[in-house]
Amino acid sequence: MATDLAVGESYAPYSFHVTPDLNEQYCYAEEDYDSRYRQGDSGDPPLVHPALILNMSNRTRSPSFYMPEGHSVLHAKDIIEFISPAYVGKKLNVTWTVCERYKRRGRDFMVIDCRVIDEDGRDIFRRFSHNTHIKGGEA
Amino acid sequence: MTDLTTASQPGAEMRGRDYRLSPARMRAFSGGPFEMDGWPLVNIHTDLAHAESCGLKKRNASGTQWQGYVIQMMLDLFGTGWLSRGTIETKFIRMVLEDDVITPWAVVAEREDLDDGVKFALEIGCDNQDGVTVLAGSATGILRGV
Repeated sequence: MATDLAVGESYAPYSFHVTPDLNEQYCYAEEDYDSRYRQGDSGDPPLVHPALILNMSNRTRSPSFYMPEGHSVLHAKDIIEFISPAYVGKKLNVTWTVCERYKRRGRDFMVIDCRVIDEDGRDIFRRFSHNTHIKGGEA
Repeated sequence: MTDLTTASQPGAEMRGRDYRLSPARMRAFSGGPFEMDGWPLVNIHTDLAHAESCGLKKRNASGTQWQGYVIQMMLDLFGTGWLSRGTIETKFIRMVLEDDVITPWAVVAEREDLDDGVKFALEIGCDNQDGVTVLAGSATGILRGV
């Protein structure tokens, strides 16, 4: 299951294409209608909403992610370095590698080194996410 | 919201606007692309029965959804250049449930004068409608121009 991976192991990578419709969906979800997400600047295409990339880079998006029924992921902490803006119309590729595991208050935590790179090889961001999971009745 | 300027000093406070996490916006965020067959995906963010099966009393908003409110605030403070050099560290302290109202905030912790601007370190967070902090952390960014 999702917590079975050892340090150094990776989830299956995930790729997705950011269409204008998908970007607009996240602008609605985030109540953020800034023009930077609809119009490009200086000849560039519109920007991808950062929350879209955050959500698509949660490890639950990996095709190899699995969590038993009645369990869910608890997201505890993120450290993110933004490197380049992402543009609408591009495909983004996401990878996840387990870089640390630890126990705290009786729970198993995993730290995931997540990288998002666009189809041109530009680094978009690097994210270290600390996650654990909960079973029914624990929350 | 109070602007961050190159004259801002440690202790300066900035507060964003309120966001209500309605079930519709939670489904838009966590339900997968609208055009997907069978939309929305069933998970603790979109489906009450599923949330209850995981021991929750209400749908639980994805942490990345309200983490996004702080990032919006960083873009409003620093401009889109923040996406090329900004950093953020966030701890998710409490769960956020449907219909909660979340307000992001930031306080200048440190400033460092550069040749062409100022690098700021901010203490950041999000409070809920009861004034309880649900997210806390830090961020850095550079404001160009002197």
